[in-house]
Amino acid sequence: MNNTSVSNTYDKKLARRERVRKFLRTMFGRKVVIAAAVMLFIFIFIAVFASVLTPYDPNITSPYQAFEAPSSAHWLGCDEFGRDVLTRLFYGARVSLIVGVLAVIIACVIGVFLGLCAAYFGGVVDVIIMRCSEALMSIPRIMVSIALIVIIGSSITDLAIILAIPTIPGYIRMIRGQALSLKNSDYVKAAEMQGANSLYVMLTQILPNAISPIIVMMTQQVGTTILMESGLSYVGIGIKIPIASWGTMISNGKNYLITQPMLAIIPGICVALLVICLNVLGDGVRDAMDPRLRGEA
Amino acid sequence: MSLLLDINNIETCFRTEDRVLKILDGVTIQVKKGEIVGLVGESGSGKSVTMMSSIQLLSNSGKVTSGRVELDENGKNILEYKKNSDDMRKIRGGRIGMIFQEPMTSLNPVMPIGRQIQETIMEHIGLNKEEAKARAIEMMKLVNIPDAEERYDNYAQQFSGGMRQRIMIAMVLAAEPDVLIADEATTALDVTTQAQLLEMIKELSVKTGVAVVLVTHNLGIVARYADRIYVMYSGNVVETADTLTIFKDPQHPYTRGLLNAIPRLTDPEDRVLTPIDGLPPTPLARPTYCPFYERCNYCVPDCAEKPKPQLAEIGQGHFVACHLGRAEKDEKAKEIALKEGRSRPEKHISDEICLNVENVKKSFDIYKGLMQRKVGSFNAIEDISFNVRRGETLGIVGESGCGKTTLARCILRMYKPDGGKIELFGKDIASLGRSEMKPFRSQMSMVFQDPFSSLNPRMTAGDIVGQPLRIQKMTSSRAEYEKRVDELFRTVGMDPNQKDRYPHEFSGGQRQRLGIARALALKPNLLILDEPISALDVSIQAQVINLLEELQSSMGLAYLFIAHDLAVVKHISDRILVMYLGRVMEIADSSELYENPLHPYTKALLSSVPLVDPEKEIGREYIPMKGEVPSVMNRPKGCPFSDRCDHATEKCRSTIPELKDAGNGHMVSCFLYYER
Repeated sequence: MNNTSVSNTYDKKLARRERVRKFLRTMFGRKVVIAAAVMLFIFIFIAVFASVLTPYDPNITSPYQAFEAPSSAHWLGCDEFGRDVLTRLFYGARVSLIVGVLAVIIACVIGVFLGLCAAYFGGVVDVIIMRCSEALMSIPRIMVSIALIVIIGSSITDLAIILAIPTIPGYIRMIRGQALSLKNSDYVKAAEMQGANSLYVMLTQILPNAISPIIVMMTQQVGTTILMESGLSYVGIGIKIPIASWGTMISNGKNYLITQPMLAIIPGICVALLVICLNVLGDGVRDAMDPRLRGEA
Repeated sequence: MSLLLDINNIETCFRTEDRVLKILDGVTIQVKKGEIVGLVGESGSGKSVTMMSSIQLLSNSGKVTSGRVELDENGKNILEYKKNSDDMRKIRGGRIGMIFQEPMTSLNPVMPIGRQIQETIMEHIGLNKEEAKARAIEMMKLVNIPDAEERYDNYAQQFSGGMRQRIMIAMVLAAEPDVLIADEATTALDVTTQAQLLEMIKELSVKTGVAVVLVTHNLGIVARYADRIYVMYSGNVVETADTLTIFKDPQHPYTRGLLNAIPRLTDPEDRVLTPIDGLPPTPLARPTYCPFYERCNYCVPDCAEKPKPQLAEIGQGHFVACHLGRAEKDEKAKEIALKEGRSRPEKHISDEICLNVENVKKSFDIYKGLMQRKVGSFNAIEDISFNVRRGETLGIVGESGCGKTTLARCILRMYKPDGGKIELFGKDIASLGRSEMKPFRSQMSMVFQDPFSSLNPRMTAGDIVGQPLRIQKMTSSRAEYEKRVDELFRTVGMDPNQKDRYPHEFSGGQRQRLGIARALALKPNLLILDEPISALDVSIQAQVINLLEELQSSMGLAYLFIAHDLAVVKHISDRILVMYLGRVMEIADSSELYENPLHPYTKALLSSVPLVDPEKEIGREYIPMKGEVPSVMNRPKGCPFSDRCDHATEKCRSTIPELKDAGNGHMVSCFLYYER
């Protein structure tokens, strides 16, 4: 008896390790996903160790270096205030990643929860949640953000929250649509019949089957959010000058697009690369989460 | 008689991403003028692919790689025509017409049905518009569509499923084809509608001389309607003969196995079903020897050495693809009979009432318009009363829309009934709230119809089976939980080592076993089975039925067995309840009900069920039912069956008959039996 239970837990551990292995193997089954993961790792590494990687301070201006061309001292040259572009890029990664990822996570958690509630409970709950989200959607995103900045403030976390709020309705609508069709499936009925409470049914039965499009949506939203943040910075109400973010760098660089195109293009490439990485990774995670694609056998 | 359609030794392959699957492995089928040919086999056996191949209707990934298809023995292989060439299109539709299972997707929803028939006629016969319209109306009358002239301009969605299938037939026959292929054309329909439609097809075949190919998995249908039968297995025809011979003297072990696996209405009470073990080989792993070898209980080791057996004539028009001769098989049959000798598990029915339902009602509101205003309501079920004893099986039969599932959901308290009592061991649960219901949840559970949608695809088999234990916190430790889950796996005949697999890795039968294991997790007393086997293949059905019977015997479970297949219900039930339009028509012991049905509806229903025995079918009375099942929203005022009943009187139309005992516990709600 004792023996079997021991071998059982051993089997369990082995099985779990096996499952993790399969998960990773499916996720990284395509080479492009590996490339994306490496890329993302580099971005994160840069963001974390920005202060070690570069000898310069991102915010101290030195007017006599303005628009200096790339050299061995300043690999990507200097901007209009003579600040090292590469340094600002490194520190900007920090802000952009935090704002982008945090905003998406906040929006996703709130949106998914509300969407599940709307679909599962229906009736009055559904009406209230959906009408509110429609009201929010009917106001332009940028206006909502501006209004909120005035109320909340514009630190990095404030900004993440502010950028998250206008994207919540998207998550609500997407998960609600998925959940509505899943809610009447037999396995959900079965769980209800076994006496499961609503939260259990929503989280274990409906959510795992409805999550795939959400993951894809999240990865796309990171990019949009970073661009939104740059938009706000452009209007001058986003990240406070002189803190560097890719958004502020693009919007500053725009002024010199003809004479110094690299000032806007380089942070632009960074945003694009990050968004592509996240999209590809998102696809990988989605595939790996589906047992049918994982090829469990 | 001369051959009309000669499909000769065709092989069809399908290309998938990385390999080529040979779906048909040399199929030969011949259709003579004016006859009805049955093509039977389980899902995946290649029945439909055969017919599709013959008229080049395969999707782009499929290709007929060898063989010939000839019409009229004229020596012209029609497979040589290009897929979309004029010649091929003239044959397809013009000479060979095909109707499919789903009438809704086969008809154009945005074009009046009359116009669709008219177009077919103009295309294939070349009449002008007015003539074609007249002919279209004629065709609609031919397939018994009432008020054909008025309904000419109606759209497909204004017709019921049965009517749509009639329209499809009218459209196909309008082109005056010589062969009509009906690919599972009646599978999605109710028994009575199915019988109406097949009777009509048979009549049409006599009247117009059209040959019919009935492609189906239902042996009853071919027994009743076909002249000759082809039995297919894993891309091969394994046996063919005229209908009487196939059923009286089946020679292929697979045919014998099928016939032993299906329940029949005429079965004695102690009949045991013998399932065919295992699963058919996938086209990928089809062996070079006999494809049935692995599941065959007649096989000798030699069978695996020899190449695949070819069809050989053993009697007048009787071909079998089996290495063994008749004598060898008879010998073996005796051996098998001795070895098996299984008897039906014993029933232990106690007098204790497990479930008592009294006058249960449930109505649904109808909402309409932008504001979802309530515009009315209809009673899905009315005045349902019955009881189930411990260890007993009560079968509930009725056509779709009669309220079977609504009733099940009321009992399980997925719905709150509007009135009446539902007593579970004497305690009324009809009006309990969600949390008050929780302790009662462990006493009853449900097995669902669709084994694919009833298991959460993101959970492992072990998690699914153990879920009720986790929800109800029935086990105190992890070890105890694992032990119980293992035990449940073994109870339903599955290997606990498969716990970590996901539902999609199991076959339909195995999934249904998982569903049963989950239902048993909380040790319930009552199991509600909602069409638990109708999505499974014949040979697998028998496995599940036997499992259910064993479980009932060993655990003393009470079953509420909901199904539309009357033969299955008869086989498994002790008593049967017949429902029609949300009301109970009749309740009786199962043998009593089949031998002596009282209610006119029950009589008509029983006569619609084909018997799987052509000898008994000869001279059997078919009681045609008038019209169609009305919707519950316009249920007749009096007896719900009054507008379709031949015996209906004024009284029947104005007052609802009560359910009364007609002797021996045989309850019937019909005025015919009141005065006696």
